[in-house]
Amino acid sequence: MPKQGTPTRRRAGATPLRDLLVAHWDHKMTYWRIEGHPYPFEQALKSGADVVVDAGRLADALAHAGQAADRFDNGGADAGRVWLLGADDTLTLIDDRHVADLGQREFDELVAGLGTSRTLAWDADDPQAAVAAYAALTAAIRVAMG
Amino acid sequence: MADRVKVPRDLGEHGRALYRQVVREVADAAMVLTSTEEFWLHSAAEMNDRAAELREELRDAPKMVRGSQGQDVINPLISEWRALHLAINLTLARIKLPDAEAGDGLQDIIKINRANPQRAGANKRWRGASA
Repeated sequence: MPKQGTPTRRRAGATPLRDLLVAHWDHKMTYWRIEGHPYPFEQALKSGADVVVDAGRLADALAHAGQAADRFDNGGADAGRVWLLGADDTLTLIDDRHVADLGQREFDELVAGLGTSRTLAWDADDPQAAVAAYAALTAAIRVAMG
Repeated sequence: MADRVKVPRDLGEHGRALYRQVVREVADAAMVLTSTEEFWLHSAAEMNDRAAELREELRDAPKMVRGSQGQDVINPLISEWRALHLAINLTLARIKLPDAEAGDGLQDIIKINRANPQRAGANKRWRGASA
């Protein structure tokens, strides 16, 4: 427990949020994983790259870790929002300006990050193309954020 | 982290302590204050000095004093002290400290990069284009 009045400081290079998301993803996929299928969200998450996370996914991961998730859950201050989680473990809110070129369906698939198992807009015959498309889209969002 | 914090010389002991604490928190978050935020912080620190002086005066002062009509009234210093604290709180609240909104214990996990174009500009000025 840090001394009161002392600013809490994070260990350099630590990625507690990403770690928490990975733990929850692995737990969930114990039941749902399709063997051999590449999940774009998982690949970006575990490689430390930019990854899109919505409030629902954050709430689930926080709840799984026993943390307060109200802020991101239904009715919470950050409910319904979508962020880009960077390599530095910070969240940057994605707003309409950042995804102006994306259709709603493509954006929904980006948020889901499940790849071709449910992809309609991306090339359903090429799972790796979905992973590459995911990386390209997150990179484009990062550029749009400036 | 800022090892040494440059504190304005016109501040007293309590103002300096407040100023130093806020600047360190901001520096720990790899941020810098905008010029407006620096002004607000300086104001809050000055008021903190005044509040400390009042608190010292109130230490031995009566809580109730005689009013203009001879009635008992609360010592105006207490009202002034309370008003100063309110003003300090309001002024500090205008400074967007990292995770100021986090009261749910998630501040060690969740770091949200809130849009703050002025701060981004200041970061670029002071830390170079890579900031």
